[in-house]
Amino acid sequence: MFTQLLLAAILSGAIYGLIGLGYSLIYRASGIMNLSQGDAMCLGGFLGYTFYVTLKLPLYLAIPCTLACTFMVGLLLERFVIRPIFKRNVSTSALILATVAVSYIIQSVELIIWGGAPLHLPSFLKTRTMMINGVIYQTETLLIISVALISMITLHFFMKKSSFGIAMRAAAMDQDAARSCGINVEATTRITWAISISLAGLAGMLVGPLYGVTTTLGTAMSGKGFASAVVGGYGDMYGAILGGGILSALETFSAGYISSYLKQMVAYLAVLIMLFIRPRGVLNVEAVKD
Amino acid sequence: MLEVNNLTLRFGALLANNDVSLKVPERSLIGLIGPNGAGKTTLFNCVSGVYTPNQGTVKLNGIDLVGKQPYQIHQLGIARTYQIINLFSDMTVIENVLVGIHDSLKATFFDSMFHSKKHQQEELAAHDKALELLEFVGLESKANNRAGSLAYGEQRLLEIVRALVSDPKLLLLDEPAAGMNSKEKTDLDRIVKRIMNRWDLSILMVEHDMDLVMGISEYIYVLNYGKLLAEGTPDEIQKNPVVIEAYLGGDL
Amino acid sequence: MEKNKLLQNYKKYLVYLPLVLLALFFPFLLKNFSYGLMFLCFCEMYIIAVNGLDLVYGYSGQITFATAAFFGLGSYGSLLLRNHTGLPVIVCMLLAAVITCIIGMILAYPVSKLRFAFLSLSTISFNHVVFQLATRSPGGITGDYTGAFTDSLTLFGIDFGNYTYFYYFGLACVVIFVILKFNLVRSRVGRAFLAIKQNTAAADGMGINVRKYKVYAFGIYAFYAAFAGTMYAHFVGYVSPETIAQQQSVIFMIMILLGGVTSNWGPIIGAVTVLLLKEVLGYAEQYQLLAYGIILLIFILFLPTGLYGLGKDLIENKKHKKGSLSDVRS
Repeated sequence: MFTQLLLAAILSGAIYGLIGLGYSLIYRASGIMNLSQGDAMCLGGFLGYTFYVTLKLPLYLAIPCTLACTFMVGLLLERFVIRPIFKRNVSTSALILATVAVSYIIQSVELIIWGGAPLHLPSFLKTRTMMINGVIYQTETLLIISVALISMITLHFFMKKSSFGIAMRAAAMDQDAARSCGINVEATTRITWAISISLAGLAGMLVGPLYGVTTTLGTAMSGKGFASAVVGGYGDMYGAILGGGILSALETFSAGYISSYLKQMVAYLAVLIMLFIRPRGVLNVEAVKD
Repeated sequence: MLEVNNLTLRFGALLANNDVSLKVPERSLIGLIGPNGAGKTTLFNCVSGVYTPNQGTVKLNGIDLVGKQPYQIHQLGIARTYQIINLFSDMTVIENVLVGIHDSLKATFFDSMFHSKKHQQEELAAHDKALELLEFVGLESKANNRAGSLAYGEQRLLEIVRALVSDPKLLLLDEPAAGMNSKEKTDLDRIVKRIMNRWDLSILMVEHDMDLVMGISEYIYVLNYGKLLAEGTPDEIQKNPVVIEAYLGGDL
Repeated sequence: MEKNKLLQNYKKYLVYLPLVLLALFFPFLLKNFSYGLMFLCFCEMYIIAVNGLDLVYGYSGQITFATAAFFGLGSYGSLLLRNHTGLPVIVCMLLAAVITCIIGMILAYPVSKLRFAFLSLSTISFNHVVFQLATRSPGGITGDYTGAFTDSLTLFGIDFGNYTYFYYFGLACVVIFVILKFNLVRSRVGRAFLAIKQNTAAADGMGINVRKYKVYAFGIYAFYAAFAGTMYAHFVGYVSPETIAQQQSVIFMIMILLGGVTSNWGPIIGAVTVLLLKEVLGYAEQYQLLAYGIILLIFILFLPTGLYGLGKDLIENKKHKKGSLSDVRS
């Protein structure tokens, strides 16, 4: 029972981490919370369905297509919604409200295009189960965890080693200083949004076979995403991933050993408790105080 | 009255303020000069509570200020203006001044909600005082205008009024003349002198305009790269070779 | 000279006379249209809640997605108090509102030292937790998904379950709450709120205890929202968890944005308009969401002062075009 729970925890943790990553990245780049992250995830699921099922593209095409589309959505979102509002000198509160508006619009577009019934994304792999070391694993689970890990590692190297990634980090740390070094802060911000949305979209497509594709998943996942970021340390990439792991471990094990009633509330209680006693998160991040 | 001793503030590896000590006696006008990035505003931020220094003490009449919140330091009698204009631009001019006197008012929450006699009397007195101060700098005709609509020089004066209205013991002026034209600077010079004459306070002023600083201050501290470079009367500073070298080709 | 000035001062209030008369005589006008009267009663509750929201969001700039939770805490709180203690309904209402006010301040306190953005996360989380507690309450005391019933308000021997009577009770409440807010806003507390919203660092520097005022603002808002919730509970006589749904909190935000922040009429215009919209849009869910999203964006981008601000601007423009010199105060 323990290994099963552990695997489930790692799976959810990876997904939460992918969404939480987006929250932290956007907070660092733009100083706000993008409350439409969860809906970005659903969008990935729907797009994945369209590419993989409706258009019957092979997996190695469907995934990049979904990534590309969600990346584009992120670019457009920043360019046509976020930046114009920023320019009007609106308060952060109003900006965050705007992301809620975006979330509603994405949801309604999804409902109009794909309908309200949950869609079924078939499993990506032919073999259902694998045996490693005498234990049976669901291949889907292993695939999701691997893809998630690969994306996180890719992101890590991108941020640390590539010149654009370094530029993004610089811009997130201090916009004015970055500008004076010749960094195009508008571009880095836009790409940050695009990456965040596409990471969430990837997560959505990956869990499609497991949870189905439906709009109602969005709000719930939004909460898990920002809860992960808060637990790990808001604004920190690794904090989001770590937070995702901790959160899902809490959820899975409390549901498994205590009661499933708590499971619904764990993420939100975690946010409240962390903000109360340790707003800097597990990794003790700065830049959270007023 | 204000005593800063061995103040050190680090931002990572950078020593923004390095073992700085200075004194501001009662009823005095002290100047703080130095090239850009020397740590002058950082020092202000340490005194007014925005930053907490890593080492050293800041004492106002013996009361330790380190670790206090900015609003507590304001309540103790230190008011400031800012290097970049920091007004409440969507409030009116007089409302900005009234915010400055906020912590001197005693009306409680329920007084305010029910507009009790206490609230009404206090508000009237506060309004009168605010208008009087606005007259002092010549802004009373614009009392009901939106603060953001004022001319640049007027906004700077408004910041000073907002700081003055609480009857502070120490006024911190951070580059009050920045961006002003020569007429506005002459007005500022006159206003600062009148402030010193009329109120029982001290002023610590950061300024780049040498004519202004040298003409007004009775004592000057020079900062460079976070460290105290020199201190003395304006005459001594102007003749100090170390200072002249730091300002190589500058406007001394 | 004195008399003229006095007359002039009261002239501008004359404009409001027809509205006051309308408000007072609505029940008679709507004698055969009880649905309309019921609608107005709901408007009254929401007007009170949105006024509270104006204080916390419009004035002190704090984003909150927990209005439905506070509304619900008021509703359930009063219901539970009444059903389990039998205290007079009005006492239960006030008690529930006070308790919710305290809860609101407790929620706001730790986050008050952080940036405004974190309030969005904590209020969303709080709303969800309250929703969960309402739908799966310990011992099922809230009736869980089915909800619970309670009595209507009885005061001075009059049963306010009747629409007409409740309308007047509600009207009195609205007047009281609006006057209190109006007073608060034109006091040093109101100025402190605005200062915190516009420039938190400068507010701090000018001697305002930012944390204290953020928490106060939140507390009043929770009180207003909760009281509105208690009105709901004893008007409808039935409370269910749907009123606490996250989406309801966003609808409150739409009300204040649409009406216009930091204005006296904004909350009224916003509450009534959105309630009317809900009647109209009650049907297709996807279009409802789309409408809400688009409305939010439009008002954030183009109409930050809401319909009230828009109306005011249009009237100012007309005045200028007419070349009127009377009373041109900005």
